[in-house]
Amino acid sequence: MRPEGALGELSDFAVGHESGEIHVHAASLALDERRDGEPVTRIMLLVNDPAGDTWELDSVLRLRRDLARRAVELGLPTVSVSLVPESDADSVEDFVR
Amino acid sequence: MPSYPIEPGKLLETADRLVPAHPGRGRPAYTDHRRALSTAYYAVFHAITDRVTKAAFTEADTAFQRKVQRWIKHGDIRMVSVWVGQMEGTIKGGPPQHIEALLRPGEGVIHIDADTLSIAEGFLDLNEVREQADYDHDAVFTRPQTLSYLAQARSVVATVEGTQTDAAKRFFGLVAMRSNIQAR
Repeated sequence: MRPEGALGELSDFAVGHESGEIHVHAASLALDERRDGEPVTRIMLLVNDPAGDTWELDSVLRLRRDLARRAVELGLPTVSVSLVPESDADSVEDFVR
Repeated sequence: MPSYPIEPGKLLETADRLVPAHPGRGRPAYTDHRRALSTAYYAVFHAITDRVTKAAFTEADTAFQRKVQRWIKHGDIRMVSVWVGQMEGTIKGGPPQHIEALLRPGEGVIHIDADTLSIAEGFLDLNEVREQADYDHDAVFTRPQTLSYLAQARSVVATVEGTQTDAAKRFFGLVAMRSNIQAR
């Protein structure tokens, strides 16, 4: 599968995904490189605001793990996942809903 | 002579102070968030190097251990953590065959447990976010996300310092074997 297609499939997998209290509303994905040249799949997710100061750690870790496993299935490099709460959405552009 | 060792717990306290529970009004302190994430990563890094050193030099005095601890590189821990991720299907590719045979010696047997996975994943997550925090001008670190990483760092440090599982000890041992004696 071409990288663009794989990114699209991963985006489809991400949007609507639920992990505990976290609901993914939108996603922005891109292939990039770390400073050491290692490829990385950068995933920025627009999610619901946490009930408290932040989300439950187990929910966050499960979400990252789910996305990482799907990325491997799609042949994509290591994922780097960022969560953006809805109330902070103004600080981030380019989400795909 | 006074001694001020690097203590993971103190680093975590510093990280917490940079993201207070009740921030003042106005624009979020994004620079503080970056420093908090970098500091939290170093808490995890130093917690691991402490365990790795003590695993390899069980009877050595503190001065000896501190010198040897400096030889453990970020890349040593990263490589062993990547092997764990590859074995767990969260990172593309697989470890070298002889490493895979070590970690999965037989049908149904795997020397990766929940503690090892937590340590490996946590190290990789925080190593990646530290890179972004320190070098990526475009990276965004909201307060909830920063607090989430700090919670993960606290959890990983507690696991590193407290685990007694055979699998985690093998992880620390592999990191020790990856590390090389340095010039000083």
